[in-house]
Amino acid sequence: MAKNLILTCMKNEGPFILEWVAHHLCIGFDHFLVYTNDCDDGTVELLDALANAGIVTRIDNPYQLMGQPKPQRGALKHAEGLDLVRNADWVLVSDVDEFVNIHVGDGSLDALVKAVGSAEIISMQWRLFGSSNIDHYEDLPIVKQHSYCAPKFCPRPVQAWGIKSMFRPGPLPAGQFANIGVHRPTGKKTTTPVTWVNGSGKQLPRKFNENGWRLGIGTYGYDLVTLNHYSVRNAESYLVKKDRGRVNHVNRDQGEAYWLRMNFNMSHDLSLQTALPEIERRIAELKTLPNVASCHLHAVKTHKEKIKALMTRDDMIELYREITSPRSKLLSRFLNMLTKEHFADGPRTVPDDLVSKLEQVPYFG
Amino acid sequence: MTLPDIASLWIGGNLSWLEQVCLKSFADHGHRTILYTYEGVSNAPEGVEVMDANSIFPNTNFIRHKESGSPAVHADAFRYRMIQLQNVVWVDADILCVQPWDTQNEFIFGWEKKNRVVCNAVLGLPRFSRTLERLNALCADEYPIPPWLTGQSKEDLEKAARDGKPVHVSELKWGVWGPSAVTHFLNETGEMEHAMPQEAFYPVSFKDRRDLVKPGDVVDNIMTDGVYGVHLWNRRLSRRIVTNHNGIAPEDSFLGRALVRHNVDPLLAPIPDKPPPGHPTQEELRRQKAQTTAKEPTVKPAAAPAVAPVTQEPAVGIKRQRLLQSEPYQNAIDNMEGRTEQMFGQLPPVAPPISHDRILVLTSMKNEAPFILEWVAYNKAIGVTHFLVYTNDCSDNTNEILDRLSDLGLVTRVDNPWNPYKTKKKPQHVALEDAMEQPAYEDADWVLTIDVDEFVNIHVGDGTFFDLFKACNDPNVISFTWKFFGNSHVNEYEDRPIMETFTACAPEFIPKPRLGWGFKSMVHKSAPYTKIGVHRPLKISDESKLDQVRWVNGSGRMMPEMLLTNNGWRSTKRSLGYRMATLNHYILRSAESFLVKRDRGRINHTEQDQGIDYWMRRNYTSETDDRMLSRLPMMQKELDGLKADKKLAALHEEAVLWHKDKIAKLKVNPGYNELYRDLTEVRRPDAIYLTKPEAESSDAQPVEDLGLLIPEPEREVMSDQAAAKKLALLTRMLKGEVSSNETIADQMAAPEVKRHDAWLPEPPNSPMGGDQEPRFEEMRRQAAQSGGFFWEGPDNALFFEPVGRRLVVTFDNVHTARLQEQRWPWGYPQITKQLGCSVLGIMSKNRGWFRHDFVHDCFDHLKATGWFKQFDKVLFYGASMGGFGALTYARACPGANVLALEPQTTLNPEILPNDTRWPWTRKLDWTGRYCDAREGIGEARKVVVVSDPYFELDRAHVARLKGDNVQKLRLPFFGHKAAPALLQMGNLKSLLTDMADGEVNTNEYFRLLRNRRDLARFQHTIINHAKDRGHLKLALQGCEYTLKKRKARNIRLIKEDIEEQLKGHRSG
Repeated sequence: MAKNLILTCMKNEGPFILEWVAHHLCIGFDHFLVYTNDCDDGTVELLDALANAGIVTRIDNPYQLMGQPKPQRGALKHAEGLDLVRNADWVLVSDVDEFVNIHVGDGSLDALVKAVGSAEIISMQWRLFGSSNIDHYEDLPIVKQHSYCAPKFCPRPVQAWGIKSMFRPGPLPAGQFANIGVHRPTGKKTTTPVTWVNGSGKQLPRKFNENGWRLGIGTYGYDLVTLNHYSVRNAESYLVKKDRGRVNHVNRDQGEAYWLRMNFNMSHDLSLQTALPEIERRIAELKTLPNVASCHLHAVKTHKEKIKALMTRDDMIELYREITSPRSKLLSRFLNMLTKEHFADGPRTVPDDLVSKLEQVPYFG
Repeated sequence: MTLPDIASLWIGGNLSWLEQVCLKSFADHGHRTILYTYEGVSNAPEGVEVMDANSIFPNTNFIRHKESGSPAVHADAFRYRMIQLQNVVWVDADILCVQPWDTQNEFIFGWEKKNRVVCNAVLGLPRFSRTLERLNALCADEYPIPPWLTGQSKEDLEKAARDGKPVHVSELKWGVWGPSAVTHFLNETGEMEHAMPQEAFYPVSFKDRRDLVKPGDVVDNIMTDGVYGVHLWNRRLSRRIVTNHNGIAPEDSFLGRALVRHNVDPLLAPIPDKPPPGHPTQEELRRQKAQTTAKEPTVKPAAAPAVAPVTQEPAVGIKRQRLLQSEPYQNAIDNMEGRTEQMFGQLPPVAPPISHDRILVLTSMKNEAPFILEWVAYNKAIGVTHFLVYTNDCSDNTNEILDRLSDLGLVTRVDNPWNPYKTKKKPQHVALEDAMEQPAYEDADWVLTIDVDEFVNIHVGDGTFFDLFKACNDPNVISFTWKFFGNSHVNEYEDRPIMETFTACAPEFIPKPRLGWGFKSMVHKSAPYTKIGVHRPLKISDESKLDQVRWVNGSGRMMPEMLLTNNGWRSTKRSLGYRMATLNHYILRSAESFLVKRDRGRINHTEQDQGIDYWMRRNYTSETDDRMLSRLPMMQKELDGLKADKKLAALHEEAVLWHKDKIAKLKVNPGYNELYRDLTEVRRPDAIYLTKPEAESSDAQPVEDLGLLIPEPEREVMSDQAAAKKLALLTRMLKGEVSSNETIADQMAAPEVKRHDAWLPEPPNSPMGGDQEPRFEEMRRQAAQSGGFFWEGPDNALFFEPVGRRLVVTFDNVHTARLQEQRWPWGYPQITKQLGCSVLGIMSKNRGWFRHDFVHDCFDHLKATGWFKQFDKVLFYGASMGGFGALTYARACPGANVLALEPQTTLNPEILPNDTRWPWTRKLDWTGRYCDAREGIGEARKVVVVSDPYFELDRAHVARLKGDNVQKLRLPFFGHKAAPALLQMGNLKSLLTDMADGEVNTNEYFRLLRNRRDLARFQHTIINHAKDRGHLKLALQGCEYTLKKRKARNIRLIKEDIEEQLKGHRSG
């Protein structure tokens, strides 16, 4: 069965699936276990087409049957019992807006695994990629469109230090840990020390065995691998995302504040661009599989229609206007000047005199 | 408004993140920030201007401190000239700016110690300042005679100058151009009036510097509007960050948050790992550790069966002799040392190489002749190479024996220069001062100060000092804690080894008072101390050399840092250790020898009488420590060697005869005869049962003043009846009414408890599938043996032991749930042993507030089976998290009583959103069965809740409890610390005793509550509370009351502060 497995949850991600699958197939993942809930944009159909080709296993997310309030938790709990997961060499819990970006050797998963030696868990750290000031949705690779991102050392907001983890299942679902968490295995059941490294291959402190979903000032690292996190994409797609609600934090508002703290257009990173030709070739290859191309087209069409429909709603127009405003674009280049409170309370709390000072900084973007 | 320009000087390569964050903090707050350097730096943070220091002070005349090589002297002169030339404010590169310095004053400096020192780490002076002028004038002279010096040091400098050999500034005492100069001139010119309070720049004192890197908001809590900068004490703090925090301040500490705030990446500018000379770097340590762990599997212990008391100590690889004392005391010491073991580890294994060739014993003696040879022989056997002995007024042949030993090259004897008419000092102290001038002292590598009745018993290896040094990773100071050896009915004097004759002694743990925890030390010459004291080295040569102190206790653990400088001479709970070495103190010897000793007077306490009180207070015989017996052969061998010298052997015989003769003479003296009969024919209580034993009171106190008390470890496991019986017997003994012929064994034995024959329920239908928790091992065994049950779930366990017909259901709290030792239900010994109640303990493997189906199922099941009905009375009991348990689950047993200390009712964030004390509990499910204590108490018979009414978070919970059956007892001013406070005041015991019967005696509660006046915690709280609210006189009274009872420096300081404020009120 699967050697290197990616485990994920989706809700209405149709137009973005192909590129994501293609990229991860390129670097050496060989199977995708996808839990879906409440999709109406062709996500299910596309995944089923890929499942017919043996690339994907799709499961209707049984979280409600399991009495779990949150879809993602339910899915992970369910996955803990699956042979597909238990028999894999490596399992990565990741989402469709996250791209594994390996910097060692030939950029393949094998090269990464070799570089970290005996590590049992590799925690890859997010690098937040912003919209690159793109407002409109086009059916083009995400990797190609978005290359502006957060700086490597970015202590605020804490999301910039978030991780997703790749681990080896063992007698327990996650090696020495009993449970698969969104960000990392949890519930250590053994007393033997675990070799757990960050994206630079550096051992994490023992305290981390107990909890923590992010790294920090002493523990961050991107030397071997980065998890490119394209959480906002373009302004139009963001409206769809906002309308959809998130898989995990279903209750929280996803408006301006979320855009502010995730839309980093400060630094420029092109490291994944070299993989682009390979990704595009693989997308074309996937499209030759039965039904895949048509399902993808359908998903793109649905997405565009959805955007059109949303742009008639007042709250959405208001949000669109705010996130595409010059002020918003300006702030996305200077997020290091903002405080924790600004990130929590949204862009309207940023004082005007700060904004007018920032406006005077010359920009050659 | 313009902010002043800030400048600093940096010498020595690139910056570390610590300087980066400090400098950037000024730039980020809007100051123009300049860094002067001689060599340039490549990593100055954004916004900081780097300038050439030569423009201020050319480096052609660079001054370094001669002894330490520090450039600080130069930096002092530099900053004064810089202020003059550039009109900027100087800051050291370890001042962190926390708000813009818009002080509206050109004078910017602050007290480091109130009214004593102004530090020059922050210094802003206007150009016209006379202080600045004088400072620059002072620094213009490289051979200064500081005007504030007085007395000898001034004369010395003046004389040197007159002789044409003036002393250069680099050879003067540290900091001559620094804080002392600044403080002096500010006072002289009157410009001191501009001094800002200590909080302005030094809010975190040197002593508290570690708070800066402690996770949490200790430091943030003391930040006020008056804080402008925070001095980080870089020189010492950065070393600690390297050794204890992997080189990076923890992100959730004050300093870590500063890194986040100012966007400084510590990985790019690490703090250099530069240990003090002779110490290993962290990298070396790591390599070494890796080596030792890698080696471990290859040295598997041989399969040979080990001899019983000797076990292998894996950490050290040296065998160790262990002692087994009576159970309560053994448990007490094991728990205590187990706890301190986690706080104070062994020394790092790489030590600077030091010589162990010559070990000197330094001592004073008076009339000890018959005991000298054994003591010398034993010490020689364990590695001592020479003895320096001071004697005074000997009337036996002590001097002759020592002189003969001196002929043999083993001893240097000196007549104690002590003269009672010339000095008030004690003979021993005079001897110690004199000793430091003696060649024998100068030759030695190690110096051990012990007396002739003290024997260092080493339990590792073959019992020699060399084995001890090895086992402790080569320390340079070792402290040995006393263990008193009493007289166990040895009446007559015989010429027989002391170490063989006396094996009865005190337990290692005696809770109160800390008698017998005094220690004596051996000090290596390389330790940076300048004086030898009776108990320990004194006067560290330089605070900055603290790193070089490698001081361990008798368990080979590092001493708490505080003890390295505070002159303490007794072990504390944290520093007590007996695992590797004990100082056997044979304080009484035989009854006959005691008569002679009494005739002689003690060396140090010359005026005190040594009668029956003295004897009783030191007669510790309740335990046996016979580990010295195994050292007898090695002592005997050395003794035979000494006695091979005919002359010495003869002198010893003479001493024995003299001693026997003296005894015979004393015994015909009626006073002594009576004392002797008292000592031998009357059975007195053991010293551990006396309330005022050795060193806690003057010996002159009459017997009637002695109180009796059964120490806690023992009392805890006794029933009230047994304790009363024992106390009655002890009282008779104290009065001298028990003769030594009387058999008392059966009177002391504890009565057998008849167990209630409880029926056991079937286990509930809840998944029992928890992993077997290793900490519950002994409970499992006890449940099986006592006919109880033990149910274990994933996160919790229920332990039942049947004892009496009353049942106490007791719940874990956050503290107990985290203990790493073998666990027992909360209050277990008291409930089962003292009160004779059955116990049902609800154990928690984690801090999950019992929010697990397993616990709900168990209680539902116990209720459904009617199991509780077999008991006469049932009490639900717990504190904090346990208090929640007690209140909540009481509904499983209608009619039960509840005693809850500072309980929570629920931690549901929707009900009580402000209580965020235990953040992880937010993730717990606060709905469903047993979720709210408020609903649990309706059917209870009586509910007693104790809490602090002024502590908002607890009060919110207690306020939710309503009902006629609820009684709320107040415990003001203790915050969320009710349980330990009640324990200390004695309230907890009486509350539990009462509530086991379902009643509470409020008069007794409030009577005992008065004891809080003697709790340090209460004193602090009430004094500060009164002071903060402006009740200064009340606060003053509190201070005076406290100071009458004990010496407390911090209270004294508060008192001075209040007095000053009061003065201000009156004059203002």
